[in-house]
Amino acid sequence: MAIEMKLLGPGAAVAQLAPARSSRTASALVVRFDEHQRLQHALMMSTFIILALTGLPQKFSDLTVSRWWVDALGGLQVVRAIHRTAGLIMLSDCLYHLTYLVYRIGVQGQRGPLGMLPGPKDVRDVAQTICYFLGLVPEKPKFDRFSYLEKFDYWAVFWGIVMIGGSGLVLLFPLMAIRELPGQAIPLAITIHSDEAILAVGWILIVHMFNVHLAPRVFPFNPAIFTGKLTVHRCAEDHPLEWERISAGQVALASGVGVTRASRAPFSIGRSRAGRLSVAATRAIRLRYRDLRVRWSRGRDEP
Amino acid sequence: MSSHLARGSWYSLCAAALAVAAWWLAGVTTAHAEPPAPAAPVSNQLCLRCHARPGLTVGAGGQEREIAAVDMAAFDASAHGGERCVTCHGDQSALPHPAIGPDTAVRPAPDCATCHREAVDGYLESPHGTMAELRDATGPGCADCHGTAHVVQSVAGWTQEQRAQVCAGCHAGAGTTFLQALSHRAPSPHVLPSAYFAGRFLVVLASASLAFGIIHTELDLLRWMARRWRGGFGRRAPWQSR
Repeated sequence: MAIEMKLLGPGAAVAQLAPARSSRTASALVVRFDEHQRLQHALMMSTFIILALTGLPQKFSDLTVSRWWVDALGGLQVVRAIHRTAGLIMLSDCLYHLTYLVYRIGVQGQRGPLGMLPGPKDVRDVAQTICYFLGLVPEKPKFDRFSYLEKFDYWAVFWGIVMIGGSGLVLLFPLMAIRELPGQAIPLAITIHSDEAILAVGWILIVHMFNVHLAPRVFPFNPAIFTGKLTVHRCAEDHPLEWERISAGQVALASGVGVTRASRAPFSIGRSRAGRLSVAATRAIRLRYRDLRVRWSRGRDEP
Repeated sequence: MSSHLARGSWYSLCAAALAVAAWWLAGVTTAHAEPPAPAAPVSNQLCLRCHARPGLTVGAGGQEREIAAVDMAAFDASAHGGERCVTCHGDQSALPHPAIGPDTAVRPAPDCATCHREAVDGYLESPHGTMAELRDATGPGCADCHGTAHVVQSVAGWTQEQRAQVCAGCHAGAGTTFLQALSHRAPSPHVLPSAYFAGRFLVVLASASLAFGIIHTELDLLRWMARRWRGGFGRRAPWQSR
């Protein structure tokens, strides 16, 4: 059964969903990521976790917990095999993404993905955000489809894939690599592979997780990258410039942006049994958090 | 009252002094009771009475085992030639050997790190050391590349081809280019400079990126808390229905 209706048409129909109109719009959703982008992220995330869990004990091999973990997984040879397989899947995911970009931009002529390119506005946005945090300006900058932090996340992965993936290939095929490169390429690759990995793990754990899930405005979990959809008020709050375009009817079909209305279940992953369970768990956490927030605000409002 | 206290203190002091004197006397007495230490370390000649004769066995009743024999000609020609046996096998200087027995037939090799601390530290930092630390059976130890301590030759005397041959024992097809990949010294501007400078660069890059991210996160939270304290979250946007 179709649980959503795409409203990608003229401005009037979409404009009805503008955030200030009615509470019904709270159930309206903006399509933010298509199936390919969601699959690419899911592959990237799962391989990243596996790579971190099998790579960190090799970097910190002198720790007792590393020895215990490697033994639990079946020994170093097993850990290396898992690490290398996950690494190759991650590199394949990267190739998948590049092919996707070439198809979307080159073949279909879409301009949406180009929104990820950094520009002078991002520098101004960083400055304005810091000033906002310090209380120097009253408003946050208005972000377009991708904020500077999202761009930073994206290009950090690009840089990481080139550095960690490239050095990983050198370490996987050392003798083949030094047919073309000097022998010092191997210790160089070890340094790059392990030091860059610390940056990647640190950034994901501290900065990415906070900005995407743990920041008070989105806590406890932002499902957009898994469901592909964003609530209208979330879109209007986090990506006001994009929302202005959507609500003005200039919906860029070509960029894959659209608005859908969820009649029953806002999550398309909610169709399977596992999906229903995870949706229920997420919803329970969200409702509990909302309840706490309401109680908290009441406590403040009604002393 | 004060004289009472003072007297008590004196008693305590005397008791403590007596206890210290008793402890010291006991120590001295014990020290005198111990057998005197050997005047000189055990000479190699004493060891070689048994360990230079291949085929010599020890034990009885079906528990005989061969005594490890050392080829003294090879040992004298090795990098360790001239060293005393007990420099490495110090725990075996007493007779009968404390560790000898049927269940300790294979004793752990002497710890190379006692003398070659820097090289062993460098080894532990290398991929080979990672394998050893994670108890991988295929990880090479010192003797796998350098030969056992009784025949070891200084690496400085090896030709490039000899070194590459050792690498090729595990890394099939390794040539002399491969030799640049391994050093037992930490990267520095003189040793593996590319790895050294890349490491420095990445430390700066990681510190700067993470510092930016963490400061951004902290400021975001502080700003939210400041707004919260001012009651900013009591007001809701029109579309945020309760």
